[in-house]
Amino acid sequence: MATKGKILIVDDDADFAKSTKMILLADDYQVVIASDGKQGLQKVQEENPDLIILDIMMESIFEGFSLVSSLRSDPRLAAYKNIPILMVSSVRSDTGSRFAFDDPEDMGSLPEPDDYLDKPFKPKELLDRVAELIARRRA
Amino acid sequence: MDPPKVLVIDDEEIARVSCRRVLAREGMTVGLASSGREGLELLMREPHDLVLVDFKMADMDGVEVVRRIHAYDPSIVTVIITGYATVEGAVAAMKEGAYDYLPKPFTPDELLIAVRRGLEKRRLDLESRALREEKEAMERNFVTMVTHQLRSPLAAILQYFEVLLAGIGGDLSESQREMLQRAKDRLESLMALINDWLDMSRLSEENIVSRLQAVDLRACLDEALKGLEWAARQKNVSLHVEIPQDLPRIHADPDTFREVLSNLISNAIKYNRVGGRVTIRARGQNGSVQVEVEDTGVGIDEREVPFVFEQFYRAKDREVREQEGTGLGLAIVRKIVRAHGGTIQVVSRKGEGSIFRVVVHAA
Repeated sequence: MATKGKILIVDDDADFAKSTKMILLADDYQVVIASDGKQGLQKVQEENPDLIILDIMMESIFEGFSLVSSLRSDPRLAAYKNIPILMVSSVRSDTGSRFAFDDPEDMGSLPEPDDYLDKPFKPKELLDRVAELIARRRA
Repeated sequence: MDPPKVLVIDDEEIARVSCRRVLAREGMTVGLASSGREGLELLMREPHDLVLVDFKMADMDGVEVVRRIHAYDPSIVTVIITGYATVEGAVAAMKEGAYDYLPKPFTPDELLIAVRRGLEKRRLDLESRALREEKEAMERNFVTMVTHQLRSPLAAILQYFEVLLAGIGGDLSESQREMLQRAKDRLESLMALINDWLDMSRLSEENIVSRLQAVDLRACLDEALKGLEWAARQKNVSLHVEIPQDLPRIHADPDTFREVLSNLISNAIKYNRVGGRVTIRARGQNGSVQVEVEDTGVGIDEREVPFVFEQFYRAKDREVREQEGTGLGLAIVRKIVRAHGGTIQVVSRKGEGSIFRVVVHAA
């Protein structure tokens, strides 16, 4: 295998996507970028990545979550159902709860990603998580 | 817009029917009930904007009906219909939440005036309620939105620094690395400032009070220490915990009280000397629990002690200024402790160290 795996980054912040891509390229991953949830879904089907790195807050607060829930529960996307998802966000994970809204009712019930990382992250931190998620899937 | 819905509760059929005729002519939807009980049941099934209630009915008097409607939904406007002899009763009904009263006998115009006025009030009430709810929802999520707007660009910039400093963009000379590292440090302290400031603004006494519960101090402290052990090791500061086994549980909000401990201990490490000690001890005393965080650090000048809990206050001392700090940590601590109904004090000796003492209620 030429690369360690193919990773899809879904993030509307082009700079963030670029720096994340550089970290992953330097560690021999292949990288594809999508700039919103809709494009993300399309790329998932075209590229069939080994891992998705997904920003929570894009155009709307729930865009990231709705992508997770389509992937996990839409029968038309069943083939991609088990792709691990690493969620990233610059909204600080507040005391205890990972995704903080003051009122839990505003959150509703949200699908859980496989792992979560606060932005910004250290390159090593990201690479460790990515390697682990991909290994877990292949196991 | 939907036509206004009016309910007429009156045990005299002729009164009900004539009210309906007058109101229906004006395009209103009119429901009728011949007793208080029937009227209340109808209201539960179908929302109405305004209810006309006859004061004197066989099964339940009008004041009681008004009281129950008001208890069920205070935004429903009630108008009591009463004979001349019972003005006192009308006053009683108004006290229970009736908006207006209409003396019998009344002309169709008088009825219409009273109903229109009541409906206008209802419209204004609903409008202001909708505005209030919208404002509350915005306030609830405001901090999260602002956090996102402020943190996103900073996170993107910091991420580039991380990439460059990891050598991923190519090799760096020593001086380039140093400058990038400084730039990153400065940005990180800006990020810390934003975080602290947002913490400060989202802390609400009401929320803290609503979450007060019996908390095991030891467990809370362990959580707080988790994030600090690394910093202590970096500075070769040893951490000592002296908590008696039989310490009563404290009456606290676990999340924010952990923040109190973690801010105090983090300061005790930060402003300590290399190789210093931090001691956390607790004891129970007549219904309260006293928690102390003692350090062997730079200490606080006596003249500055009264100000250390103020927002953005930072000691003038060079040794303090050398450390990154936002000037908000202790202000946050005091705000949380006060919301717990507790107190915080500091005893310090310049050059020897400080003791921060928090007293909260035992559970």
